[in-house]
Amino acid sequence: MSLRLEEVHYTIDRKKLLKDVNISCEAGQLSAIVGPNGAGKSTALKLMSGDLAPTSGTTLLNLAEVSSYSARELALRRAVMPQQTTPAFGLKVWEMVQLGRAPFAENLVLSSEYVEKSLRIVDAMHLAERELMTLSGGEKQRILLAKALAQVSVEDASVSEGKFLLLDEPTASLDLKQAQTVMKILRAAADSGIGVVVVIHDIASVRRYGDTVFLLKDGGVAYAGEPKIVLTAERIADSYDVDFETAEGSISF
Amino acid sequence: MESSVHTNSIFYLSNRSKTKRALALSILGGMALVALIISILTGPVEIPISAIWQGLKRTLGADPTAMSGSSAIVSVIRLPRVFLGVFVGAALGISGAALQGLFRNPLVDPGLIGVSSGGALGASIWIIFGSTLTFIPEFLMVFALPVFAFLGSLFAMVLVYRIGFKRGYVSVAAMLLSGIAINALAAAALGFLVFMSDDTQLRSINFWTLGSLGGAIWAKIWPSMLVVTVASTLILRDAKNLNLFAIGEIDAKHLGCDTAKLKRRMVILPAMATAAAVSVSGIIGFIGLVAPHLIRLMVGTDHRLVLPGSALLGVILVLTADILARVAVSPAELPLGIITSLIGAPFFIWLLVRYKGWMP
Repeated sequence: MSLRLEEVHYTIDRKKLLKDVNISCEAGQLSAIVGPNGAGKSTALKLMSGDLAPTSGTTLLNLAEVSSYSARELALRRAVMPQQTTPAFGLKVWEMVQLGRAPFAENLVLSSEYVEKSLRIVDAMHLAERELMTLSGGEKQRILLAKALAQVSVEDASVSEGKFLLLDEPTASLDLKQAQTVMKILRAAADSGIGVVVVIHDIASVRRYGDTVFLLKDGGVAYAGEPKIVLTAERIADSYDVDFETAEGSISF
Repeated sequence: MESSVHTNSIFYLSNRSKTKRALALSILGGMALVALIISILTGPVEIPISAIWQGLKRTLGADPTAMSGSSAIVSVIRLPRVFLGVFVGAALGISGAALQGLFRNPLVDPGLIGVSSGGALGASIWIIFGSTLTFIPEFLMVFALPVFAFLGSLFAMVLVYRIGFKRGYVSVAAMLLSGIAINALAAAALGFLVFMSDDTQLRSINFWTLGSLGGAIWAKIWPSMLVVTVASTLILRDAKNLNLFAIGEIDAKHLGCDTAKLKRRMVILPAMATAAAVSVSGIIGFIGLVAPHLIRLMVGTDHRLVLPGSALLGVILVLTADILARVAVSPAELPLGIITSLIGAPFFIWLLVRYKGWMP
């Protein structure tokens, strides 16, 4: 039960965005992908979600190639939390979260239960009836997270394989407290058995909540392993090309 | 305790939305039926309501003894007209809703983006050159007009789609501009027809540009009715996919929607339905814009409701406009397209003002 990039190269317009990348994320773990801007983090995530196909190498979801799944089969096994949303037409919060259950053939009562559970996890039950676009940026992020959580809920046994939740900078636009709340939710999701894969800039959070980290630099994995061991001030200073004090600041609270 | 209250509230929400859906659709269905009956009863000759039933039986060939004058009028004149109105209204309403879903924009209408006039263009090409295509077998000839209209509509649709869609994003400006181009092309073709035609032909060409349900006979309209039925049924099946598509193409994909196939269907099917309507009624503008918009105001944005609702409201709008067209300057008859544009164009202006913040 894993989501893996194996010897993946990705080239577009002759630019080598990823070179011989090996990333393995396990179900039940919180895996983080960190690194400076332009290191290829988002590209790696898009390969894992199946949005992009590798130039060479393979992307494996539960040991089968991602490209061998149909869109729906993928949707049953992995959710991607978008960074933002602009629905074409108005949408209530609960309607949005309910879309997370769209891949599943289940009745309204059952899907409503998942909607409720997810809204409760992100503490947004009181927003259920609100029009999505009237929410603040932070609130919208939480709703998008609830939708993704509804999609990969481990309580749903209709798919017994590992489920994965992919997030690209879920805390980027959040204040400290909201960012911490999101990280705690992701930690809890991983503990419940979901494989959480997150691209993130917040090194301190990765050290605190993560199980595994992949530090990307110039399209390759520079370091991988347990965050507290891998993410040292020296390596941060080197990878991000910053001075030691800044690096030290980034890893502590 | 709090938990159970919340549970109920969510269940309540969902279930209420289901009830609301059934209720809204039945109300619209009822209104459409009323419009249908009034439409049958409207005309220079007064007929009793009972004649509708007799006329229906006569049309279906069930009761050849029902030969009174009223039932003949119903069967031969009124019913074809009203049924044409039903299918044209449904086709335009559902096409408008589907296209708005595809382009993720509430300002889209088959007329505005040139799909209607593309159909008229195709149909007029058939009218000019059709007589030279003698190799077409006789039994296929009834489908020739809708097929040519469909090719014209599809051409317009593909053009708008190619110009409007850029890397998954829709450029409203590009879309509307390509609509202007198609409309100009169709106007030129129709102008050429006007130039070539004699007086009688001129009247029938007028019909294309202004839209009318007049002169409907069963033999002419059944192929279009068939096409509209097929296309609309297939569009309805994509309601859930359109809900996903509305939150964004990539998000829809992540939720299991095969967006490439969905887009292909939403290019072809509305073109089919619109073309089938245009080929027998001419261009009736703005129904596809107004119906989905009003439906969304009434019942929200769920396409499982918006699609059938827009079809029903399209029927109501077309039949009502047709009744107005017949009684406004009786015994003469206004072209239907004039009335729908008279109401639809100000509505469009209102939408433009209201949504000006949305446009890039």
